[in-house]
Order: sequence, then structure tokens, then C-alpha cells
Amino acid sequence: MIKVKGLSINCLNGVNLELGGISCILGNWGKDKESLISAILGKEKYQGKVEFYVKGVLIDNKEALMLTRVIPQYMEKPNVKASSFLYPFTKVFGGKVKEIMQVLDIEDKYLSEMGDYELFKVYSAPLFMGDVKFILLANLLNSVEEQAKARILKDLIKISKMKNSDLILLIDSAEYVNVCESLYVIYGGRILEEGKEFLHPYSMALLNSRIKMGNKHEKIDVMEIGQPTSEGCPFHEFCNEMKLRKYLWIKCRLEMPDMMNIGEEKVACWLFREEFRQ
Amino acid sequence: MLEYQCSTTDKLNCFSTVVSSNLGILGQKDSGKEDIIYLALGISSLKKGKVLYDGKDIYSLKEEYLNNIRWKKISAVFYNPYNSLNPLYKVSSNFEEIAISHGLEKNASLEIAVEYLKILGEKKEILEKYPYDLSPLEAKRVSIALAMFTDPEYVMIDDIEYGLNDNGRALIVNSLIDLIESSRSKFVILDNDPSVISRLADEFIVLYMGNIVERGNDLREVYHPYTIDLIREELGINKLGIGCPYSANCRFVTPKCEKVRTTKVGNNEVKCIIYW
Repeated sequence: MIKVKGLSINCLNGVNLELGGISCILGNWGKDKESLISAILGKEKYQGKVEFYVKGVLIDNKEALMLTRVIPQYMEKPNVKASSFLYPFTKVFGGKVKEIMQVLDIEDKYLSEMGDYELFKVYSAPLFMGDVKFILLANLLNSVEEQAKARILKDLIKISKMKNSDLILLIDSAEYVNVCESLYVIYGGRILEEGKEFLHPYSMALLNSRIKMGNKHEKIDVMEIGQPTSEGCPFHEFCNEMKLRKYLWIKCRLEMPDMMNIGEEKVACWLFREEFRQ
Repeated sequence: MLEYQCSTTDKLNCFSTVVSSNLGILGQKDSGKEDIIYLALGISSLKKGKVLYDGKDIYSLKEEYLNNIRWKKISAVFYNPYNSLNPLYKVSSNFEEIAISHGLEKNASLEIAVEYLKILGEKKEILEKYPYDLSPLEAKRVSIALAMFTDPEYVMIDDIEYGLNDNGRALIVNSLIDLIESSRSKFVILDNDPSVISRLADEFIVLYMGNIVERGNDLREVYHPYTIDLIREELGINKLGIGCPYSANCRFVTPKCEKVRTTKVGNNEVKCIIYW
């Protein structure tokens, strides 16, 4: 498990997360998610704490990095063969390239000739090198073709179960949240929701943005989600719920609400405050 | 009229169709669908067959005639919108450059460009930005306006969702529906997402590794095992089969698949022996 406590870095503002099992962080890809990955990997200085636990025992962050693998947002396609690409990883993490390629059924051809799923298999090979306890998927699902997404997710879940490791998925589509054991919704550097109920208007907007099969020239009922605002709730400029309720206008524009419990969910939205529920 | 007659490239195998309405081409990244754009613009090498515009073979035209077709008659939105924009120019200069190089009046063209940008949900101020300042959604909208403002007969759009999140994709699809309904251009939408094609296209073609396996009018009525697997997202690693191109992966494969030919099933043309 990775525990993030009061993390502030760049636009992230006092973020608390407990990432264990299959954890998802949903939200538009932006500086906030990039900063979160940087903090977890110790690439940038930050305020707050990032703690790594293996079987409930706190381990050193440097040790944790050797147990962490990241699958990047964009899979580069250098003009090298799969074996040449993977060889340097074995130097760091151990393992034998040929054997791993055989297990994963990776053909030793040039990466530039590979389709998305084949390429993913190459990028997932380091998960079989050495001990792995934390797997981070950095919004890769956005950049691969539709047909590869479900298979990539299925494979990652299988690998994480096999390796008994935590899988942290950074995603910007609500389409695959059913695989998540825990879900955080992040926008403008703040956690807006914990849970899979999609209560926050931002979460709802993401959910409604999914394109499904439709009739010819049938439009999607969607609103544009632009850049977050720094004052008040980061989503207030686009929030229809706020626009419908005059009594929320000042609150949402000026004050960021704290997380509040709604059943088993947690949501940071004035709409759910007892005094504003109507 | 834009017509492909058994057009063959390194990736496309005897691709034939007449573009008479808004056409959706559904295929994965290795389907060779991008060659359909390159062929129409005369920028890809054609191994066999013809590509006809108004009855004239694009590949037999002199470069000067071809330049009259490119962008004025057939334009394109490439999958990476930033590649269509000169990074040293402001957005407005990118429009002006195309207008001047195609003999169009510069100021009038800019006004038209602003109108298209408005339909796409962008304000006039975007013209003053440089390409690196544009968000992926803004860049996509600019590249669509760039392809539309010369009022071409055909607009070919490759992978509209590249680099966009769900929200951006949905907004672009809505904008394209507005454009389809308000312009006289015919659109060729190339995509790997059936839900995008279902909303934008009047008819569809399904490509598997450069081969047409099915064509029809409604993606909710499909027959070829590949189309079904593609919509259900149940695909393996693509291998090219003998006869039916999908036979190496198909769960219904039989020796008869080697001699497959296209048959009419419902409203569709399907290249599969199951329906013989």
C-alpha cells in the first residue's frame, strides 16, 4: 500500500490517499497527476508524506522504488528490437530477457512495427523482472486504441494478482472504473470524491462524457470541462448544479468544502452539506 | 466524386469504394486506414489500382492540377493536430498561409475560419495563439477548421480521439455533427472506435489489416466475426489469414474460409462464409 499524507507539490494541495489493491485515480490528465507520480517516485521535492507499506510494514522509500514499476502514458516506439529494448531493464531489476519474452509471447521484432497491445506486452515485461510490489499505470489507456484497452487492463490485473502487488491506475475515463477496488476523483489538484458512486458534479460530468453507440448524428449530452479554478471548488465554473442553485453561488466560488461522508462515500461538494440539501 | 478502384498500397489491399455520403472507416491502427487519406491527397505511393476524383485519376495528374484538388477539394485532419500547424506561426498565419497558397482571398478566408471556429466552440482570440499554446482540444478544433475553411468537397478525418480525454472526444463528436449538418462537404471518418463512427457516418466500412471485411449502413447491425469481436473488444493479436483475412483469428474458421467471397447479408456486404 502507498499512503499519501497531506501531499502538497505544484498544484496538489494537501492530498491524502491510501492506494492499495487496485486503486484508481480518475480525472483529466494534468499537472496534478503528473506531480503525484513525481512525488511517489521521489523525483521532485514535496511537502507531506509518501509512505510505502509491504504486508503492513513500512519500508524505506528508496527500497520501495526498486519494487515499483511505471508504465508510461505514451509508449515510445524506438527503432530497436524488443530484446534490445528490454535488456537494460534486466541490468537494473534482474531477470532474463529471452525467458520473459517467451512467457509473454513477445516476438523479437522492432517496436516501431508493433501494434498497441504488442507494445504494451513489451512495456509490461519489467513487471516480471525482480520483485514488484507497486505498479503504476500513468494514463496509458488514453493513448491506446479502443480495442486494446480492455485487454491491457485485464492483463495488468492478472499480473498484479500473480505478483501480489498493488496496482495504481491513473485514468481519465469513467469507462473502466468497475475494475477499481478504490477510486479517487481528482481535479485541479484536489480530491473531490472517494468512492464509486459518482456524486460530485465533476465525477458526473466525466461519467456522462463517455461515448456510446448511438444513432446517426445523435449528439452526446456533455458539457465542456475546462481548466480548474484556483478559488473555491475547482469545478465551480462548469458546475450546472451550482448554476441551478443560487444559494450555492457564493459558497462554491469562494470556499473549497472539506470531504464529507455520504454513506460509504466521501465527497467534497457543498451540495451535500446538510444545510444546503433541499 | 471520389472513388477508389482496387487501390493497393503497402498496407491496403485492393480497396474499392465510392465516397457518396459521410463514410466511416472502422479499423485498428494496423488496418492501413490512414493510407486512404494519403491516396486521396496523392501523397502515398500507389502500387496498383486507381484513385479517381471527378473521373480523373489523381495519380496521373500533374502536380499543379493536384495542388488544386488538395485542400480546395479534398482536405484532411490528421490524427496529431499539432503536425498540421507550423509551430513558428500564430494560428491565424496558419490559416493565411493556406489561403494564399491556394489563391484565396486572405481576409475573407480568415473570416470564414472564425465562423468555423465558432461552430466548433472556439473564440476568435484563439487565432492569436501559437500552436504550442493550444490544449489538445483546441488544437483539434483548429485543425478541423483548417481543413474546413476552404470549403472542400471531402474532408477526411483520422482518429479524432487521439490525445483527447472522454470529455474532449464527446465535444469534438458533437461539433462534427454540427459541421456535418451545416456544411456541404462529405466526411470520411477513420476511427477505431465504433461508437464514434455510429454517430457520424451514414455508411461504414470495416477494415482488417488492409482488407475490407464488411460494409453497411448501421453499426448496430453487423455480421462479420471481426466486426463483432471489434465492437465487443474481444480481439487477439492480429494475424493475416488466407482467404478471409481474419481466418487466422476467427473462432468460426473452416477450410472453406480460404475461398471466401463477399455476400449480401441483411443490409450489409460481408466477407464471411458463415452466411453463404
